[in-house]
Amino acid sequence: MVIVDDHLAILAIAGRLPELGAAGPVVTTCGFQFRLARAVADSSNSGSLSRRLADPTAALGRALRPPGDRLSVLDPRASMGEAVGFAARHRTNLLLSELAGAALYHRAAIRVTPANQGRNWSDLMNDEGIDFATVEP
Amino acid sequence: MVYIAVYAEAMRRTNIYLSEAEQAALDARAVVEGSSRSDVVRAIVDRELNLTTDHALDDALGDAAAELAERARRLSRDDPDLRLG
Repeated sequence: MVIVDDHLAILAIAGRLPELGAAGPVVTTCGFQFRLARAVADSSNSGSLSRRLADPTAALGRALRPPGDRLSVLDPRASMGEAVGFAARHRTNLLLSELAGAALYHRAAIRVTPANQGRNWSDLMNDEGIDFATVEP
Repeated sequence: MVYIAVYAEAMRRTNIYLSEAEQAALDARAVVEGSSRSDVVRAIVDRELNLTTDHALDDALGDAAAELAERARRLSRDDPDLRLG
């Protein structure tokens, strides 16, 4: 299983996912799905995005209900214990705690785009033994 | 004039166990829709897993991916729960 950020998630939904260097189904977290869906829902406030997304309702529907053969969204309840433990150990916010907790619970790899890598994410993931790397979109 | 499109999608046979009630419900739906049990199962799977195909939408989302990611970062920058940190 490979957990991806919002940028890689939208590429997965579009069928344009780059090579991730990790095996298994591609999934994302609720936090990253929320960030992505909010950006799509907010696209009407951007002239260039409005031009690109001719059918914003369909685009939002795709972000909220991704095609199951391309991307799944993890249920955060399953890995809540691991997320809380990670947050307690590292004093991290909800987005990162959910991401790392899911990786620990599912023994999954994490792939994010370079622009979405937080300051000390790599060090924290290494401390926890999580397979973490950045991928160019 | 009538045009008929034929979609030759590769299919693989699979076997699953279903209860009598599940089989009866599928057969009833097939009768109502004038289709087969297999057609009903495929339609349910496609619907549940959102497997509809829309190439134009795929292209639009793929082309907008970088801009959407940047917008997601901007919208989450001041959100303590969802910013990258």
